[in-house]
Amino acid sequence: MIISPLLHVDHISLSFGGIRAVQNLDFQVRPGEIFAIIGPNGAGKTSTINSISGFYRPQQGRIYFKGQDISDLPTYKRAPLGIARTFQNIALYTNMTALDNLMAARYIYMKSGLFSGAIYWDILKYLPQSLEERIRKVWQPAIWEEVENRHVVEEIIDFLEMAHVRKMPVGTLAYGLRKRVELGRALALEPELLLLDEPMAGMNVEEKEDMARFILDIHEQRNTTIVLIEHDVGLVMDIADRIVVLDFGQKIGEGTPEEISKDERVIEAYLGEQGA
Amino acid sequence: MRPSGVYSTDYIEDQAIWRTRVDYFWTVFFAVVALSLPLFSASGVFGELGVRFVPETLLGILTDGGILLISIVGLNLLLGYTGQISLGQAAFMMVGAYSSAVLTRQASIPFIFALPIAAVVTGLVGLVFGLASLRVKGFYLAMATLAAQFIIPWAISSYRGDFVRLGGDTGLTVDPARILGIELNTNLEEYYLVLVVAIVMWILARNMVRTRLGRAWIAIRDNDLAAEQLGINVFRYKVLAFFMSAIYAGVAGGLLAHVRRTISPAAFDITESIEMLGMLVIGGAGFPLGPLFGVAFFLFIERWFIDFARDILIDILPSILTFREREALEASLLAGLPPLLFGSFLAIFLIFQPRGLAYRWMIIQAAWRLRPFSKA
Ligand SMILES: Nc1ncnc2c1ncn2[C@@H]1O[C@H](COP(=O)(O)OP(=O)(O)OP(=O)(O)O)[C@@H](O)[C@H]1O
Ligand SMILES: [Mg+2]
Repeated sequence: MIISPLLHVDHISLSFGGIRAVQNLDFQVRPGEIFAIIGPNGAGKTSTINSISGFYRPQQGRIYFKGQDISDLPTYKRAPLGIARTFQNIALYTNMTALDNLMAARYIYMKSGLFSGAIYWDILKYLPQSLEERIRKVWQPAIWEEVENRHVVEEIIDFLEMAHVRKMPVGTLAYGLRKRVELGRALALEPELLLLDEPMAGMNVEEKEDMARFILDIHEQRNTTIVLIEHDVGLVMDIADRIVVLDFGQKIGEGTPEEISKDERVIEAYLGEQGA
Repeated sequence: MRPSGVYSTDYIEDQAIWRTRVDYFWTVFFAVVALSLPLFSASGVFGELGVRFVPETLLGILTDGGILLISIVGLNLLLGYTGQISLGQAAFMMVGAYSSAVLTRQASIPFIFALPIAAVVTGLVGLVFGLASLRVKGFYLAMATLAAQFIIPWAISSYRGDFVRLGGDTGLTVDPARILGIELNTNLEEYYLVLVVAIVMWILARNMVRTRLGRAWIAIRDNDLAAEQLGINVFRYKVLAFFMSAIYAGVAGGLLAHVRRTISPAAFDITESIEMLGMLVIGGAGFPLGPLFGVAFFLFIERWFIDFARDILIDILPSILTFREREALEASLLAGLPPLLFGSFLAIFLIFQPRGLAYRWMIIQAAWRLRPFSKA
């Protein structure tokens, strides 16, 4: 049976001046799998993810998501399609609380704008409950929306075990927690495709284990397709369904963990030097 | 299905403007003071009965302060929440002032309609200058908005057409505000007019920033590239911030015109724009109370501390000076001291308290809540 891919990166090339960051790269990600991108430093992993999320524009090739060509779609129109990401060097809203970072990610699910947002009277809570609810739904969609989305966000906060920091400005949090908040923010978009750029980099063993567990749980419970960049090859071999290996912007191998670990070119170029 | 309404009240509570008893206390305290102050002036109810400890001049000062506050609340949406700088806020106030003046006097539109129309006109002018934010950031954006500060006063003072009269460099005389046939022309009436508008505008701004719109703005301020990845059309929201900020300037300008009753291009120059930015920074950009603290601090310096500082300086002037030299020195102190003092305070704040008074206030409050475990 042929499963149509969720994501098809179709022979893309991206260069910065003379640097060819990605060359003629082609791969497909199937719905529901954990797909890892590995390779040495500067291999073009981040550039690939940036191209998928719209951060960079490849000069050649196309990118298809759910069969739709998204190559020319503005970045901000990709999130509503179901693509979310985290960044290699955390890109949170540092002055907002963890909670607000996640709430900000509910943007695409909310509607209230200038007027409905501006009219939001706390005074209504002094009305009788039944009356209050009716008035709110009709006259104050903003409050209603806030509360509904808050439920979704609180669930994610519980899931990622960060209830204790939800009201803290993320700038004040420890590195590992910030990484977790960033994962939470991506999850709050309820994406079909989650792009994770080195979610475990710089973490200690315990934090890494937590993160791996979260990724597996997200995959299992939410059936989210995950594209993962990770340097820890052992960990990738454990959790990925399929792997693509990059070197100098080119694909040098693709397959299941077993296939990759036996691949001559990969061992020569990458695994060998890592002493796997 | 979750049972509806079960935790919803908690979350609504959690997102309320006033959350703690201390919040309520301060709000009620200020509301009572603000509302009852004028009653104790010469024209107020108690004043007429002989209890008058509030001078009329204080009402005038507070009215001016309220107008400034409205404009700075707008500036806060732009600078404090969206992270976009504007050096044109005074020019935008000018658009509001002239629009409202022309609409009421020359087009005979009632004040309560003229003010919102003037605000929207100003908003659109602000939006046009905000389009520059598509291309440039930071310093270059400041320069682009500075263009507004030069073009608008120049255009208004050199306009000689027949469509409306703008009065060139001399300016215009403006009618007092009139609501439902009542002319608001005493200090007390003007005070209440500005107070009500300021409170409404502050609450609207507060609501904007705690819902979807505000989070989009803050996301842009803190990390515009990541904001784009959340599906936020960054350019659209930047321009919207310029629009909103100018709307606030327009309302402030409109009120100013009807309170001062004469307007001229000289009243809206670059100094005013920079002073407003300074007040916001001192008060705390990006905090709801920032504009209030900033204006209060400014009025304190301008109306009280300067006299005090000048008196001290004059006292210590060397006594060998002749009467004429002394007079000349006093005159230059009078002119030079306000910008010098304000500038020094701004510099001190930028170095020692860059996040402003509102931030300090938050820390003090947090410490108070944690007592007796805190040392602050
Ligand atoms: N914005 C940019 N401007 C110029 N060169 C860039 C830019 N982004 C990436 N590059 C270059 O493209 C190449 C690939 O970089 P990329 O960040 O994709 O590598 P990576 O595989 O993610 O590496 P790492 O493991 O270090 O994160 C590198 O040589 C890098 O210097
Ligand atoms: Mg990288």
